[in-house]
Amino acid sequence: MRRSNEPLFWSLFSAGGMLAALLAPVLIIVIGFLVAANDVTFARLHAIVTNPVGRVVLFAIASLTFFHWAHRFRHVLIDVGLRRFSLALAVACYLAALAGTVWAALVAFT
Amino acid sequence: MATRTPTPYPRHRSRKWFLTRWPYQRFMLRELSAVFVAAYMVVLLVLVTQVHNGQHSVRSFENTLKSPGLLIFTSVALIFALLHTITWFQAVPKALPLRRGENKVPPGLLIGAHYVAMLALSAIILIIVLV
Repeated sequence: MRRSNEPLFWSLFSAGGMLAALLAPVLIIVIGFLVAANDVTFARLHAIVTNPVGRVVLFAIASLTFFHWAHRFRHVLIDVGLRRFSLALAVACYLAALAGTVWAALVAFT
Repeated sequence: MATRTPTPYPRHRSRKWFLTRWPYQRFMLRELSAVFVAAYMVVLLVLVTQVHNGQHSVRSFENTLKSPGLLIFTSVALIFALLHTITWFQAVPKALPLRRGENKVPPGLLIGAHYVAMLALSAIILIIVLV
């Protein structure tokens, strides 16, 4: 039987989906409304992004959410009739998520 | 009698099938939610970059966040994020049917536990950020 790499991407999709389901709404409220309104002090933001746990959490949520997007977007493009480009779409989507992961690592661990 | 080579049954599926019925539209909106949630993680990473750059960078990014365009984007992203949360938790009992001994854990309990976890985590994050 041909080995499939679907389980790997499904795991990343699933982990990202769960993290996003738990955390995305509050993160969007914090950034888009509270930080925007200057309700969060710079000292607090700085403490969060330089805290070791904070760095790992920021990296994990960003990276896994990107892989979650890649998986869904790839399948939705196939569903709307791009099955012919299935391989190219998979490569493009997961490469984008990988690029996002590298960026997230650079941002989170500097 | 002439034999005909069998041809595959022609599928007639409109290119816009996902616009035709509400369940399909709902499916598409759910899939689209990933685009907005991922896009907001880009905003998150930009914010973290600005924090590393210092207070002035954060101040100017706050003004960007306050611009009408980004406030609209934030609101739309929040609606899609909540749609993602609701649909994701709805799917949990199907994807992860937990059993306790002989009995299946009731789906409602499983879904409810996820909402409790989500609210608790949200409260913890708000406390970390604000208090």
